[in-house]
Amino acid sequence: MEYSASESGPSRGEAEGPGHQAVRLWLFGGLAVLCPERPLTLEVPPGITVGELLGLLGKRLGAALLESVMETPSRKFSICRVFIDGMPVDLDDRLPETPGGLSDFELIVLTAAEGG
Amino acid sequence: MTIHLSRREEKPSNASGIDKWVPSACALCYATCSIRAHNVDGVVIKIEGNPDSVVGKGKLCGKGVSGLMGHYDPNRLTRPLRRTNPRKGIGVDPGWKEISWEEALTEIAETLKRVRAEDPRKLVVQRTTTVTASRIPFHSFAAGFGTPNIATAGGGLHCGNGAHEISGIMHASWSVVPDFAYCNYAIYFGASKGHSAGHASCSNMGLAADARARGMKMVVVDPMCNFASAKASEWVPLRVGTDGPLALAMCNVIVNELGRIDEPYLQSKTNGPYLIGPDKRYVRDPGSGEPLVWDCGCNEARPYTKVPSASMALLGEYRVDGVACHPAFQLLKDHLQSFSPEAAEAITTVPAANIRRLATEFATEARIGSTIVIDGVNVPYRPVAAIAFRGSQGHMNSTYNFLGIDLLNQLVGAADVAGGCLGFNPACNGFPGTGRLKYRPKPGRDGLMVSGTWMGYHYPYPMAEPRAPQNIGLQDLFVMGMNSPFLASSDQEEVWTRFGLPYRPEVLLNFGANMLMSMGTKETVAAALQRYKLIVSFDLFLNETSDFVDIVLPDCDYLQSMDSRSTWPFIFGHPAGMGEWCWGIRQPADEPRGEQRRFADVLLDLADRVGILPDVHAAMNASLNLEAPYRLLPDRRYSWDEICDAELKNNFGEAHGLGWFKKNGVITWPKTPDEPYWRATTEARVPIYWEFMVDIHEKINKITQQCGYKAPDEYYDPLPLFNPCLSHECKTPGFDFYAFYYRDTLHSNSYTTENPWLDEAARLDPYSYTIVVNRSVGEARGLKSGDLIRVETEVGRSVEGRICLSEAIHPEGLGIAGLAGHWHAGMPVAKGKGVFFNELLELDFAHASPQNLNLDLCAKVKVTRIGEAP
Ligand code: SF4
Repeated sequence: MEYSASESGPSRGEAEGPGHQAVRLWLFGGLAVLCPERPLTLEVPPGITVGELLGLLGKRLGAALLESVMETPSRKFSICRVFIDGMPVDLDDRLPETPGGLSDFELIVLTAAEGG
Repeated sequence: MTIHLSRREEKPSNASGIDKWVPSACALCYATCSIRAHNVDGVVIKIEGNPDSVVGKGKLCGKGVSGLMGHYDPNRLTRPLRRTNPRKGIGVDPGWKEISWEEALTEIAETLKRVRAEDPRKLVVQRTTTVTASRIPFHSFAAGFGTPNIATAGGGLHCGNGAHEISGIMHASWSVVPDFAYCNYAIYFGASKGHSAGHASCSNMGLAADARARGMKMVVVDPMCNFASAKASEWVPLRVGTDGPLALAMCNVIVNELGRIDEPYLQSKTNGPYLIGPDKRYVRDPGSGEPLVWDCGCNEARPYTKVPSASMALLGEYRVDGVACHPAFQLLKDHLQSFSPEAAEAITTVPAANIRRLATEFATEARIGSTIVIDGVNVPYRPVAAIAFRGSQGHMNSTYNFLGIDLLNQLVGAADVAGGCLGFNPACNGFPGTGRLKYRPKPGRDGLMVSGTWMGYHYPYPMAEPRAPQNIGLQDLFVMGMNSPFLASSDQEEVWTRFGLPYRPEVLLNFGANMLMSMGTKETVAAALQRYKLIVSFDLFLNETSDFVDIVLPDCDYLQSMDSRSTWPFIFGHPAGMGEWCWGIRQPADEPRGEQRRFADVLLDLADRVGILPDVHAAMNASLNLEAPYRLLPDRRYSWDEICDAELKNNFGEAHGLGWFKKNGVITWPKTPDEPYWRATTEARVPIYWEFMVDIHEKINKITQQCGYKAPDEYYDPLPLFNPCLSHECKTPGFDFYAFYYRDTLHSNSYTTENPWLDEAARLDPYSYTIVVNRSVGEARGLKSGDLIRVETEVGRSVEGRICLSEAIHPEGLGIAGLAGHWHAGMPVAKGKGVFFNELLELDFAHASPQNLNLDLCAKVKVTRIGEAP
């Protein structure tokens, strides 16, 4: 599965529709500079994957976001960490369905290793 | 479960006040030995090792026991300072003026806010490597700010681009050591583990001493016979920077002359059976994309996951879809033929007969196929280890040098098994009470090993994809590099322009690193520092770099500081092998003086003023793996002590917070054999053939073709080659010594040279402050010990010092203890002592490895006498 901002055609989560759930997006660090509104609330289809949500974010906030978090179209940087409701998740994990509630989606790019 | 405690003892003293022993941790090098500091009436009067901890095993080195001398040094900074002289230069008086913390932090925060709004990448955050516990606060600040630019100055640049990378890829660890408890034959290539400073230093010293007393044979390959070699069974002197060819010649003897390899290990734990096509890449299954192996059972190529390892061919030539291919091990075997002992002798000066003997001893002692029962568990037993570190890896060829050395372990199956070469602590079953801190190497892409933990969330394998540089060090383009010279190179602007760096750094936030001395020749570093618009430095003393700093912040030292993890990451300060896990904290044994403040609290304050506190909290949550209810909330203001408390409870349960650790110092629990000897029980393989280099090379060249740069082929071959240092290619008459430096066991980086007790010891030592040259070579030139000499490079860089003639150095070597030679008045004890080796080092693109950016740390020099012995 690829999660690219430049995909053509609608992707999962792009169209709003009945049964969509709200997600609160918290972008931290350098990503926060790309989106000063924090948290940013989005309506997404239930059960959307983390990767799909990132693709959606890329479309909303621009290619710079995906360039910062995705090493390749199908793989995020190891230093990019994603959390849903405080628990670490990976690209293929799905958003939990939280009827009537909000999920918190956090994204931060850490610094790489240095030696010594 | 047994939990041992190291109690903080406090008892009423004689009349006037307190008498307490405070369990804490040393921070005078990154070994982070556990200590007990004795405070009587508000004065720390003694520091000793904490016997309840395996981190140091209750012992301290000379630096540790004399730590009070630095702590109470009257030259310590006690007030924030601001320069009044805008002109910056070596020896130019900054015109320091005392300012308040409020003034200092207001000015810094205003500048940082502006820079973050423009482009957060313009901030560079740099730390000394010495204080490992500074990593979380500074990295979190950098990540929260949004800059990728973090660095560790010379401590990082000189140490580890090859060593850490290969220890990570091959052993899931930061570094490697022999399994001292069971090893019978250890060969060291430019390493001092167990005999000097550095990783798990004091713990390893005890373990190594016990091993030698037990009869472990220790062979040390090194141009100089000093800390490790002096205690070794055998010293093998070699030409500086040629460890790789020596190791590869030994591999050749083992594979092609003796034929003593651990076939089951190579079949099941390496990519040796993977078929390689004419394009140097894996031959892959068209359906799954998995690498193919040749299945000897059914005589056909099949995906590696579908074939029992015992049926995988290691040798031969096969055809897949009409195309000839070979198992990777066959290619390695053929490749090694070019490293005959005779060819290696010409490069290294080590006689071919000795190379054969060493290889034979190593292969014989490996006892291939044997097992041993440890704590009731039967585990593979290979009591040999080949280890390496700074000496062998500090060259242009660092990756291949280190890889060649580690292949010795891989060939005989002595990797992460009992008695063998151990990555220290890459597998942990977690703290029994909570299950936290659990990590284990696992198979990743193509079945190759991914570390379970490393230094943060940036793993050595798979390598990141090369991309157009966003980082001033260009590590995102040259992805095999961790530390980069371009932080201060003479050609940094040219390099940044050429490779298209889209911004320029403006602000440097420095923690304790003395860049001017630690990286290379001082004029080059000075020019780089002059380009910053603002430099802020947390320091204990004014030093050479202070001449370029705008605002100096007076820091607390380790006896005044608090850290919930005195050793970062958990794997770092622990001795390898069986024994105990141990987690200790660092806590204040003394109060700050004057207006000294703890750096971690200052960073939180600064983050608040810049408006990035929620971001820093998020970075800490992610870096420390904090889970509810211990995750930091975005908008709440925490003290550093509260964050330490959260981390400890998160890992060890609600009952084991900061209060518990302050009282008890360390928490320990026993290791089980599947932790240190994890290799046999993990499915992960390691690459004896670095196929991924082909891809990295191609991608770098694709990015750089527009600027006319092509990464040289010889640095990106999947099999290790010998690429000479520039010093090896210098043929100018008169320049006939290879100058190198070594880490004096009396000192950590340059900071401890200010300690009067250590200075006294160094003055009594014939080597610490002198320039060592081989006695017969020196005498043949009419030189006498004590003569004043000038050591000069081809481009005219020079240092001066007293010569020490000694049998304990290779005839072509010239050895200098690293990082002495201070000239700044802020460190008056250190000033004028010893020789500043780094003045001889060029800091530019030409002297950096085009593979991993490792700086070439040797120089070809000529020696001239300029004065008689006194
Ligand atoms: S080895 Fe390092 S941490 Fe241990 S006592 Fe010596 S200086 Fe301190």
